[in-house]
Amino acid sequence: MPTPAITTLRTTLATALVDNTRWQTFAFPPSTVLANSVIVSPDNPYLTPNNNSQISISPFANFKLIITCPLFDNEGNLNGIEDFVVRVFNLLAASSFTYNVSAISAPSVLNAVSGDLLSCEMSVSILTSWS
Amino acid sequence: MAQGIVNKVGFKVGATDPASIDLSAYVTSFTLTRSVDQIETTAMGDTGHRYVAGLQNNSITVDLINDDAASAVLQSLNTLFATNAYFKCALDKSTTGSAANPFYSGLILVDTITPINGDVSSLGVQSLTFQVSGAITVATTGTF
Repeated sequence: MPTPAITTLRTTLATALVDNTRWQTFAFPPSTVLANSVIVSPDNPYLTPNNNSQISISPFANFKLIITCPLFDNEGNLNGIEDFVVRVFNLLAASSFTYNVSAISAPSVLNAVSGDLLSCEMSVSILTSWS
Repeated sequence: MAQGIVNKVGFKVGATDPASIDLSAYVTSFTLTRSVDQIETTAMGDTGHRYVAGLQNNSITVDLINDDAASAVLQSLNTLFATNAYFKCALDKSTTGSAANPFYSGLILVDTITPINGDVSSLGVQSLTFQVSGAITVATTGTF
């Protein structure tokens, strides 16, 4: 089964996560984080080779999907972030990636330049190729 | 060849001789065990056990990434299952045969495969042990 190239994977992933009715999607961490965003950010380790020097064997690319929503009241915040997390997971499921979602962090307050946001990180590993 | 890491092992299998399906890129671990039976020849007057070499009893233990493409691991092993398949292996597939890098070949009995094996978050793999059927031929010339 074909795997997406490393060099285009961030943008391919961001495109798969586009939902213009809910959030803005970024293929990289923006200089100013805004509410209602899904941000594709490399995780550590970024790439995990699966077989040493063999170029034909697909590595895993590890990403953090940073999901943000406005900080209103506790119930509203949590309802919003839950809706976003579920939607992101559904978009991943509908994509053609071979992936594994390993963890979704507890929501936390993010003090951004644009104001306080509620954010959540989804860790996802995607099978990619050395190209 | 001096000391080094084992990251250039070559491993081919096939239904015909010489083995032609190169699975080297999918190998993550490889062990060729060469062994002979011990035949005891201890007799009266000996002060210790004596042995001579008997029949060869060799095996190959290999971990393979279970790629399902044509001519890759899954389909090749499914085709060879329950047969004596030809194999060829080397410590370094990229250099020519020599005393430091001999090519080993022969037949293996593909009696066990694991076409489905793995967990939700890792690559599918096959961890297999094949009994060598007959003797191993060792060549110190040619290319892999």
